[in-house]
Amino acid sequence: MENTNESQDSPDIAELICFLQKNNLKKTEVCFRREYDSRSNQISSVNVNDYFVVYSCLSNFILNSSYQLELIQCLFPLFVHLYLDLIEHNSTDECQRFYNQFVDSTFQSLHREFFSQLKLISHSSKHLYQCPLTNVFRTSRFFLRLSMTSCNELQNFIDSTKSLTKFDLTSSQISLLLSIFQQYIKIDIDQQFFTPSNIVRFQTVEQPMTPIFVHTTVANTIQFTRLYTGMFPLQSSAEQKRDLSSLYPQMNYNRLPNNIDLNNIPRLGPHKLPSICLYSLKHSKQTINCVTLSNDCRLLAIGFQSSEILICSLNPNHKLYSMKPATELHHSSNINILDTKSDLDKTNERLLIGHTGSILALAFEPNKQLYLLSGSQDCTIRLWHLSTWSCLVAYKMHFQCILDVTFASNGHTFASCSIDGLVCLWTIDKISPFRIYPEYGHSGPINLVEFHPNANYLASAHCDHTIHLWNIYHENSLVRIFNGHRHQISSLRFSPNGHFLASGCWNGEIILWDIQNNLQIAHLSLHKQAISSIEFNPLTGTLLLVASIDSSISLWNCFMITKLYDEKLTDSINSPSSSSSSNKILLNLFKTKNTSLFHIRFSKENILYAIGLIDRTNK
Amino acid sequence: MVWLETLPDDWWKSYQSISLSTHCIHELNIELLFIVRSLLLETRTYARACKRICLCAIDFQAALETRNIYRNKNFTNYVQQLEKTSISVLSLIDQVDQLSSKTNRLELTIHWLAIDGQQPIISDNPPANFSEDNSEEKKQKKSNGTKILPNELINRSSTLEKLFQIANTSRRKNYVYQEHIHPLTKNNLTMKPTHPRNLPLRRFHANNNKVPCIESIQTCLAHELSIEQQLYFKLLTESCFNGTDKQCADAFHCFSSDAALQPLLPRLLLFIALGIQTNIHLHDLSFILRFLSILKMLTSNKFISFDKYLHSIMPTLLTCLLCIFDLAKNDPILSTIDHNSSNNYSAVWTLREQTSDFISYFEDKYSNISYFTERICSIIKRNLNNTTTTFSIVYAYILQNYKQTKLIEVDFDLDYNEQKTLFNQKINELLGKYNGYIYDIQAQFANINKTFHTIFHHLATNDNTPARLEMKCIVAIITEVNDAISNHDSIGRQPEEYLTFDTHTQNYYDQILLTLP
Repeated sequence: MENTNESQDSPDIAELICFLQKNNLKKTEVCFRREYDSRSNQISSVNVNDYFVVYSCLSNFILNSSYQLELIQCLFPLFVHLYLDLIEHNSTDECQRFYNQFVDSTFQSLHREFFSQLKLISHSSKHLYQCPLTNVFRTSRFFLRLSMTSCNELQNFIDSTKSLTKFDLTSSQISLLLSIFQQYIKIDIDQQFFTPSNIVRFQTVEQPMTPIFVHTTVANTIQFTRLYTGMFPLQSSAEQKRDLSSLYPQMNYNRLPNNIDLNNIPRLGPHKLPSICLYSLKHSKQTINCVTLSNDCRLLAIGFQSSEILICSLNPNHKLYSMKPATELHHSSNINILDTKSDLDKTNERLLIGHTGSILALAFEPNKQLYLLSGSQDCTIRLWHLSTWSCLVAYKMHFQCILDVTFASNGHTFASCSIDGLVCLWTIDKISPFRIYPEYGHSGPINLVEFHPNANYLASAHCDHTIHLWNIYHENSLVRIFNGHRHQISSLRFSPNGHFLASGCWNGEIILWDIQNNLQIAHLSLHKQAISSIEFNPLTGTLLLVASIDSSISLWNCFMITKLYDEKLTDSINSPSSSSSSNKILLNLFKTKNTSLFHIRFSKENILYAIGLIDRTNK
Repeated sequence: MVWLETLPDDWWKSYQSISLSTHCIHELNIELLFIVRSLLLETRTYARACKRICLCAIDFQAALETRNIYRNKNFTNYVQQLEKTSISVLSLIDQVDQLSSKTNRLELTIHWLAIDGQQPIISDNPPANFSEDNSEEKKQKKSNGTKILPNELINRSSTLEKLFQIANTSRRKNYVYQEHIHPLTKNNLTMKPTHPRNLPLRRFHANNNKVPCIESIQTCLAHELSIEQQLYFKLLTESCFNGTDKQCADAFHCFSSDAALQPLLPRLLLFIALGIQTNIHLHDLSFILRFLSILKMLTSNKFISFDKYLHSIMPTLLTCLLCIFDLAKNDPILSTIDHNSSNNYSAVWTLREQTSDFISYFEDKYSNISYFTERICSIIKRNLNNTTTTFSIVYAYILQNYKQTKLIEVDFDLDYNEQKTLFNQKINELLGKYNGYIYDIQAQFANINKTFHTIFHHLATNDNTPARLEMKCIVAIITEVNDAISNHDSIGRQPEEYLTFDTHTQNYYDQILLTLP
């Protein structure tokens, strides 16, 4: 009977036993049989039905609970882990059934991107660890931020399943439930009492929260300490100084060159709205991958799929000078003055050639506009000098395509991120990075990096739709995880005062974060498609401008949002006395004619420059 | 992104000769699906890094290349061909350069998307479409009102309530603001302290070729239009009637192309409507035609939307279409002496055609307005039943219906017999009038009558091709009748109107015949 079972299970084993019997290896055969039996018993001990019972039991409890909004966070990790367990046990039909039975519309709408990736491995367990997302999932723990009351409710429920028989759970089912809670979920008590929401939402209905998942090693050590979010870098610690900054010249915070009359510049705010100047690129035969403006809005850099970079001057009087070639210099050397202006070769555009793959990221050095960084598909980052028009350094560390590069405000530190899941921090004079995040190794691709204005912190957007904030100067470096987006993040920007972070994602939703308190201040959903660029107005940060590839720019009253938020923090509002004229949150929406916008930036005259591409898809 | 559920079936056909076990095929299938799906995800990563709206073949290629899979050679050649075209920015500074080389170059243009938070009305910006925005916002407002404020939420947090209130009021305010006041006007309505020092800053851009500059000057707020707009209005209307030919042409050009006319539109339409009404009483057809040509120019202006002001112009147009021009009163001496008299009659026919043109244009464009078509239809029908209808009105009516197949169905399916008898009666009346004078005219009218019958028949059976032929026939007959009438100087009583077809009308008919479905 055993034999028939085995032959049913797998013909290989039957053949092996035949072979052992034929060669009269009795001891080996007995040994093999024992091992095989124990293994098959183990497999059969997993009762597929348990999964269905456990999940429906818990979901019933949660959906009937009065703390549904918070507790619904548990359902998502539970669902995914049970599903992945089923796949691991090779019962693919069952897991399909599990998916069909329990995936409901709220899940689908909240985690649409996630589920589409989950379907990637719906057929075989071998792919579980090849797919970056599920790999992250299995190696992380979930952070549930619950209030004390709802946590108690959950605790009571779990206790009652243990002791009472009212839920009719078998012991194996209880152990399954507990093991998932122990292995993958960590509960963080956020506040004493349950409040339905503390988010200012604009134009959206109330949505349940989503859990954070963080790597297991981090989950055990993470602490959300107080951050320094001021505008200027901390100079108190001597050690830090020695570490990096002392070697370099003092940062230049004056955004404006001295020759500009300060009185001429309009101070922007809700009562003085900005002007927007739109550059549109037309008739591109090449595929344009990325576009960026320099900090003074004089230079435009365009990165092409064909691995060239084009720099062009936007100011007609500002030609792109270059140094003379050595031979020329020799002829004129009897005059001892080095005159850079009397150049032979004055043009409005320059082509930089050096990469071997398509350009995916560009960044100008913010202070002097003398350097340009480019990240490419060929896994290298190159630094270009903008008066010799040549490549100075090729930085090599990443082993997959570079997705983003960005300069810190001091202009000598920069960060890069890549598909390989690493964030590297560099100084321009060293060819190897001085920091690599995350410490526990790579997970999925990291899409964006952005420096805090005081250059102490670095934000990175990860493939699990979270934003991680890293302290550059500190050992225990992960200081915040912002979680709430349900689509891939497409844009990040810190406010100029350093207290807030704005992030936009691929379904057009924008979230404004309070960095210190790790809270969502506002959800702004107006755009239909990905947010390509976010900009605060300089110095005050009272206006928020958002450009999207759905060819529109929206203008938000950030001052009003933060004011409402402050009032709520201090609980000082009693009467809606604030003047009705000034409390509009959305100030205006500017539509363009089919120009999908790429990049926006404020110039030193406080004019917003926007760059868009016309009709790329129709061609 | 469309998710790949299974591999296509015919994919396996090439492998069927190699005998693989079903288990093996299943495993292969799973493995391949996984690879293809991960490739698609990687492709999306690249496309998103480049902020593309949709995936490109080139992104897929990049995903393949990172796995060291290289494309086949045909594709390579194609790409290389593309790469050879020169990369260069056609800079906005060098005008000469722009003229010399047009193709194969990257072009960079520049314009103002917003000036001090307001979007200027220029051709580079999309035209402000009020009706769409409003309907959308109405919907959103409704959903906001119902969904956002469950009572329990309010009870739990007063802050939340306040926030939603503010959000709602701001939305509503925004909506009200947008509906009634045009951005340009709004710009002038709000008092703005413009710093004199700001001006040089704008001029900095003024030398670039495509930068428009709308300087807003503080105005008194008594009138909704700014002083410039009032002056503009005055200049435009005056130069149409009193100006030289060049001024007139300029004004017409402005009407047909200026994007900033929208705030002036209600006044312009009022001007046209009143002008036409006055001139109907004064029997000055040339003035009416001139007003209509202004309207024609306005309709050709694509930055203008009429939908809010149709009520001011439609009655006038209908009057033009249907009213009786008592031309006999108008200078009988002149009309007998001068050849212009016949031109005057032909002008009536042109007038009818033009107005019917306009009406059908508006009907086409604003068919979304409820009962618009039905109301026009009923007005025309009611007039037809009137006893004082003249031949030209019947003609206009037929014209009107002929262009609107929809209307034809409505009219002729329902009371075809009634229409027929009515029309017979009309034609017979006309025949009666001319009966004593000319026999051949009578014969021609009989012909006309017959042809109309056939037309009605064809229209009733929804058969357009014969109807078209018959229409041609009528054109021929009417010209004959005109010749006949003009040959008879001895007519004592003026016929009410000549049946005239000048070349313009003839062309017009040819056009109809071409465009008939």
